[in-house]
Amino acid sequence: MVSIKMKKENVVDDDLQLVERFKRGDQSAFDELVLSYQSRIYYLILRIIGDSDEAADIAQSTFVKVYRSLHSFRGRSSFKTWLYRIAINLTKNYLREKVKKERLPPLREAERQAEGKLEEMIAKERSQMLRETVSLLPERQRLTLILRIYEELPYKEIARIMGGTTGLAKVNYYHAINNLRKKWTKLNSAH
Amino acid sequence: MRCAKARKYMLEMVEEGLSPLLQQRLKVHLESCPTCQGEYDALQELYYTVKGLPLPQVAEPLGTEVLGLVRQRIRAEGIEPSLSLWNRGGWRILSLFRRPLLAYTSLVVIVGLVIGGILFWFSYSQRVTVDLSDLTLDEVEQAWELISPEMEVDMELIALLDSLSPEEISSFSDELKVEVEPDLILSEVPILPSGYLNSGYFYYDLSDFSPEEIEEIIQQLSDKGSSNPSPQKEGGGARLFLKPIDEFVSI
Repeated sequence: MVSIKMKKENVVDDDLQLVERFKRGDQSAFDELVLSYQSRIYYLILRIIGDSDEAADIAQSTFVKVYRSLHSFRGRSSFKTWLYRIAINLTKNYLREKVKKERLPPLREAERQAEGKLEEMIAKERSQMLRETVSLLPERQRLTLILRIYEELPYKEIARIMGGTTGLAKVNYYHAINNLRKKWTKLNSAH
Repeated sequence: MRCAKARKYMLEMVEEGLSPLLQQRLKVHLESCPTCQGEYDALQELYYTVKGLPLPQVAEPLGTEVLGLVRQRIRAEGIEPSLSLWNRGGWRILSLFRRPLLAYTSLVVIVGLVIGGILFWFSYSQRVTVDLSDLTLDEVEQAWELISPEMEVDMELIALLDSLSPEEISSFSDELKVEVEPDLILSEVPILPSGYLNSGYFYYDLSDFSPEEIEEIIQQLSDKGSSNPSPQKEGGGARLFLKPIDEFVSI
């Protein structure tokens, strides 16, 4: 446990050192930051939007934005939290644009439709169904769930990334799990 | 532990984030409550199934191309790192404060002092220019009383100035902070809050004057028709709104 904590602290220190080096004009420090986080950011976005090309594009935009505004990073949160916040915000923007462009029904409507499609979904493989169920969660719950389960972030960090309080992050996570549980129970009983 | 409480802790138990004591109590409850045990098993299964969900299919695994593409884009779009105000130097002073609360408090205090100073300066230096050339001294006095009862002492000054030659007036008008044109009684008088008139700033002790000199002053004021020629003010002491005393003596 102690060694894990120390490792985390070292990562944070390394990140801050790289940020400082970049601020002093060392461009290679930025490259190191990108190399160190590109996979995590890409897969985080991929898990949210499910489209590899778009995920790569948003990941690029994330790092371009980091490059542009790294000088304004104060180190109040860890670099990772700051980076995740940029990535999540760009992903949310992308999802909103996508909804506008494709005139997708709002999420609540989509949820109702999903209820209707439940029978149809039963025919699919369970994990696929579960993934679809996750994708139909309200945006905030879904993002919180992904940050908590896959990124294993504490609520405090999720709150910093998503905006809002630690309590709100916790509530969103519990709602997400509860919503999934209800649908999961239905799926299981249908089987 | 009751069922409601047990449900509350289940998710934390699954995530292995529950304290050993609560873990123990929850385990005891689960062993004795088949309903909660069923819910816990279902939750655990759901959690690990979600956690184990594979990523969406990716055509090619991610290599180092993100960095290459980012660099390419930065070059193509001519993107430069934008320096924040902080890094431009103007706000570096605040970096002395590592605690934001301290920095903000200091900022508020500094802004408050600046605003307070400006307001004080305005209230102190607010001046009016009054052309009294067409009025008799009685009328002037009435006018002053209308403007501010605090200013009645200025009547004596006006009356006195009226008795002086233009050279005498110009010799000390700067120090009096009064703009005077010899041919007309034009006075620019600071309007101050009432407290300042008693602060000693505008009242000067004439105790060094001989009775004859004071008599002469009174006489001069009387000759000019002032309705209140006496400089006797503030508890009977001989005080007059005038500066400097030495030059006054030379009248």
